[in-house]
Amino acid sequence: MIVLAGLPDEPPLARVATALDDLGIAFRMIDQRRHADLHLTFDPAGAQGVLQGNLRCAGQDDIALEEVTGLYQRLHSDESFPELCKLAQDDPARQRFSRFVTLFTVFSDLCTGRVLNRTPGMGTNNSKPFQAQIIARAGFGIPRTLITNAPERAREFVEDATTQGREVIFKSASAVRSIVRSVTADDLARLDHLRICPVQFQERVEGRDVRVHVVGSEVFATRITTTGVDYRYASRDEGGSTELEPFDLPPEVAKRAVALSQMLDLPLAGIDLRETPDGDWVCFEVNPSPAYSYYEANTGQPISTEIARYLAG
Amino acid sequence: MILFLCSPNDISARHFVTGLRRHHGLAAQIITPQELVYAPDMEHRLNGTDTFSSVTLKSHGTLDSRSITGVVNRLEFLPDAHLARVNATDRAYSQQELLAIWSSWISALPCPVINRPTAICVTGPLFHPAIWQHHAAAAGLPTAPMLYDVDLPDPVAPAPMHSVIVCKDQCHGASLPPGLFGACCDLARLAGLDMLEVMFGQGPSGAVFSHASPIPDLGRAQPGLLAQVAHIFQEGAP
Repeated sequence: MIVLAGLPDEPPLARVATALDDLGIAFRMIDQRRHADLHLTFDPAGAQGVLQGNLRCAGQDDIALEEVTGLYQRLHSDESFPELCKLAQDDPARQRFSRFVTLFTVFSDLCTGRVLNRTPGMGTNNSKPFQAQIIARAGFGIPRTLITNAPERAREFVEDATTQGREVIFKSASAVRSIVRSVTADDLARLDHLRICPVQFQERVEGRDVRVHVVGSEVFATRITTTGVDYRYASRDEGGSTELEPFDLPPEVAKRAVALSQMLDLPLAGIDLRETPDGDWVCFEVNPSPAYSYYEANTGQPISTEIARYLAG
Repeated sequence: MILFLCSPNDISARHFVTGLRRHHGLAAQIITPQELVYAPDMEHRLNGTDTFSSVTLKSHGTLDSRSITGVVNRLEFLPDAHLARVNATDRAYSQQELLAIWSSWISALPCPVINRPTAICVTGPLFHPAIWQHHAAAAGLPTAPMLYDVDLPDPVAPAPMHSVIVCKDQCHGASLPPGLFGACCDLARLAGLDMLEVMFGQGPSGAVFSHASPIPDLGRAQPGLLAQVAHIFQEGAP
């Protein structure tokens, strides 16, 4: 049994559902909007170390959790549901919703089938410098990075980079507010704010952006041409634009991308690479819950079909 | 220097550190999360596979990747009292940043670190009680039946009556049948923790798994654990 869970009309989930239909593979969709109709119960110790339990959606057949062989989940927090946001945090309906998400996540971590993706892998993106250490061990370059709360160290890092003709950017170290910004003269004038919380500075890496989606051992590379510092937000700038096209990744780099996704325990991964003018490959981060549909819609690369095939084993 | 990263109220760690100094001659120090987060100068550098971490503390001067020779990580949280006047959104953001930064800072140390942080928890791997229950059963420990249901309160684990402390494939404790020691070590391995206290309650036919903690009560530690930890740092074992 293959299970998809989340919002059925959200493009990444909807495209996999369509792909499964096209391939003639049966699956069940768990619609998070019907949270009040969803019921989950399990014994984590189960039988011989296999979790056993049931997932029920009112009006449909029960799903035996031990029979789930493939799971693609894109669960949302209660903040994505307006009817829940109106309620107090301790309202029983809101608490039940959160409890369902927690228990469903436990199930996905313990499921013996193919899961896209489990919590430990998903979590590596919560600390970008932590993830960067793994990226470097996988053989990709990473931007020269300084995290500090000392204004003089930050200034020295920026001046050193500037002397070598390199720009410096700053971005969050966690998964929150991960918009990349260039360090400006105004920023240098307010470095005293670092005392409150250290900040991550990186030398900007010149080159061509390539987004790589790994699905199991398959690789889809997309070249990105953009006018912005961060292509994801380039269209917010006046006259800004981003173009996507399929790209043939060198086989050795493709192999490295698969190895990295395996090191991170992410069978589905969105890897942000940049090819430098010297031909080096630098990796900025790995997205554990990639919105691949944006790339598929712009390039026609059959990522959703590969996800469907992966889930089917 | 060997660092014990722990709460200022962690009395059992203080006694353990005193034991390491007195009985094994190790230069071990307690460093609190307050000292780290409120340090006047910290840096964390990444350059390819090279990393460098340093922090200047009011109490101990500058500590860095070269001078820190071992770490026992018993951090439960990072303090945020200095963010009290920051609005709720920015405070939540700063808390996430501190966690992301210090988890990476500690993880990057090249010395032996007992219980390295993960990207989501400074303590190390963090599990829901149901996952501990699953891992305990998978490791071969006896477990009590536990049913999780979205409409019911979480099941209550058996009250802990005995415990053992696992440290890198060695199990320390006198109150449990030695036949369970191997399964306790397997549980720590499954959890990805170097040091773990495994607690047991009483079931109908003997001890059953209760819960596990990556921050053992070192007040229960036997001399063998003290000697093992000293050996790990003296040998620089990975």
